[in-house]
Amino acid sequence: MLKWFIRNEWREMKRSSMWEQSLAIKIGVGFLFFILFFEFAVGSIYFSDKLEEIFPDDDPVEKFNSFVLYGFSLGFLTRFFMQKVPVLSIQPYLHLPIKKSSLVNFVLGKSLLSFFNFIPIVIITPFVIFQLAPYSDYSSSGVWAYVLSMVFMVLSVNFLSIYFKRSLSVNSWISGVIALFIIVLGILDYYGIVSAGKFSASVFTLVLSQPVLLLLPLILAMVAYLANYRTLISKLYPEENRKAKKGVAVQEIKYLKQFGEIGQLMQLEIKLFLRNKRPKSTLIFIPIFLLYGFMFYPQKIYLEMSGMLIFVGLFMTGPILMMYGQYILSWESSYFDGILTSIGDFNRYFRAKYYIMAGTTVAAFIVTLPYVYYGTQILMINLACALFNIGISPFIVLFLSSNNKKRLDLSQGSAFNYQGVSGTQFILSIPIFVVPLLIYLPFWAFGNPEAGIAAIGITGLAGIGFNKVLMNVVVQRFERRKYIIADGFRNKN
Amino acid sequence: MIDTRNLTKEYSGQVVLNLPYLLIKKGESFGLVGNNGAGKTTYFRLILDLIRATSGEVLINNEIVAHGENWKKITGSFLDENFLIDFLTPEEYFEFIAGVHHLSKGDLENFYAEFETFFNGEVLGKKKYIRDLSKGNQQKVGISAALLSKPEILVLDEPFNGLDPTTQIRLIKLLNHLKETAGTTMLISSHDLNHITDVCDRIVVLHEGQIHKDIQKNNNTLKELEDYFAA
Repeated sequence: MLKWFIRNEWREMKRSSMWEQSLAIKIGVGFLFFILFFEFAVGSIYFSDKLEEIFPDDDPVEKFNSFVLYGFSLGFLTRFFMQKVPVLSIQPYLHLPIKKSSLVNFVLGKSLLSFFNFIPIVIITPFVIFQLAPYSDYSSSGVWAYVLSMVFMVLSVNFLSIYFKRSLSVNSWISGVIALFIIVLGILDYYGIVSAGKFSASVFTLVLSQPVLLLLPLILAMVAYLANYRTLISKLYPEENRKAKKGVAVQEIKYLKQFGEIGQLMQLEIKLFLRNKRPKSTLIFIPIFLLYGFMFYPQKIYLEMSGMLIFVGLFMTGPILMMYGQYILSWESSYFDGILTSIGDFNRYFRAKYYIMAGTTVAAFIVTLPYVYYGTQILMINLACALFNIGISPFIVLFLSSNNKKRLDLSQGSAFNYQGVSGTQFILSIPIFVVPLLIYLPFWAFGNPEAGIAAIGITGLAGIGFNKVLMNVVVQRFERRKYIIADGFRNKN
Repeated sequence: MIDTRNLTKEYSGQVVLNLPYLLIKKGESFGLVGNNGAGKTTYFRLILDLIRATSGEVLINNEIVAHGENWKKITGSFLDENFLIDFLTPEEYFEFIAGVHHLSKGDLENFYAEFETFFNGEVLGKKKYIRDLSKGNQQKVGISAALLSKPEILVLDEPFNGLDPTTQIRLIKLLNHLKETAGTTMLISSHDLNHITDVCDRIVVLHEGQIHKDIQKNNNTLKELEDYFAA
């Protein structure tokens, strides 16, 4: 049976939508993961090798061990938020004569392949090689016990985080208690009342001299595994693993009703955003966009680079424009034929999208007003960028949206989700960032950056003035390409 | 053979199925009809232990399905596309099912030969994953996979849905043939009264989770059912 599970798992991975992306995206994603691993490995090798130099007063082994507990707690928290046990993936096996116990063991075993389990190994290995192996301070059985207890700790953290995540989705108050506990412990440690570092150092160093202690993490890992096993085996019913659907609260934004068909279309767009997982999960990035200024404004060097500030301004005043804009039309791919047959006037259809982008840009500009604290120059730049993001960028986005022809699965989250991504999304970001900089550059070259900023704003105003013309260009291109788009959307993979 | 006792299923306090007693005998061809929401799929899911009963139980060969797993070896089923492992090709999926049932390569070859007409050249050798097949062809894969292990009990939920007329007729023939030669116990639901009377000897009408009619098929059955649903 195991053979079959592994084979199916391998096939699933190989055939997942991620691998069916274009080669460029595959290389890009692969590179990202490679860099991440590489950085951990190199960082850890460097750190392990130089421990004595970085902390000349401390015993290197004890110093390293003082971080171990922090590392595992951090790992626990990250997994808690990011790792999931895809219990539903066993749905096709439930009606077959396969023992429930082997299904559960398989699901749990699969969790070991998680990316998060390899990071601690990458970090600990160099330490063992550089600091423990070459010296005879510790017996070889001690070193082996240390290595094994680290492995068992990784397993324990893996299974504990899964267990808590599962039971917490049922009892959310426990998650509050755990979060509180970790915070309180962190505070106590910070003020030196309790030292988790010292505790960690003494416990893990003790394993080196008392190899028997490795039984403790072993027992912890086993208990965590059994706890998971017991909850999972009693919960193998698919409908109980889906989130309980509460009655949907139907909300209408009455204000939009007075805008007739356009208002209705905007309403539809907003519902689409709030009721589907993928668009909803992109909303998390909005605060990151808006807080972008804090990364640049407090530093003097950036304040003198107005080109950089324009970039920041464009970014901050257009979060929705970018997140929502890059998949315009694709958002509606699952019912696009319905759109084509029911919408009579595509001018209004696109105008609804335009108002959403323009409206949210105005809102973002208002939210970023307090950045004026860092100088009136910032206000001027953001105003110019906002005008550009109202008058020009939406039309660029809408014009290029006719290139979107990949179906988008709205039910999946957006982080690390490359389904429905194509070259179009990358191309899109170029004009909305490059065009304003191109407008600005000549003025800057002749020593008048203020005029360049003004020019960006004026271009935006011109776009607002000529919006009817620009919209017609968008709609005409769409009318020419709609069959290609609809055909692409019908294609599920 | 399939014994239903005091079975109820509630969703947020609303009873969607309430079957105090229902016995399906070995070799019986049992048809389930009823309008949307009558509880047909819910009943089948309870038989297959895919959902948890609010009270009561289903027994297959005197084994409570929720507590044992032996019944799975003699039961073939296909309710919906959630049964399919959609990233496999049909051949890989059949191979997998055969492996689970410990069938040999030769058994699989025989299966392909037997189902050649049923597949109508649209399933095998297409180099497509199941997820890329049309709904009708996915349905063919699911139904045939349920039959692959030559089960004693066959559970199909609306098997005729999405099949083309030729395949519908072939499926009726296939099921009747199985009934006569292998004595397979069949549980089939359908919205098509013609199809269900063609295949099943005993027909139960579910309405709002309860049995409204339990008919042994005779010449008037189709008329009786049509009158019931027309009313």
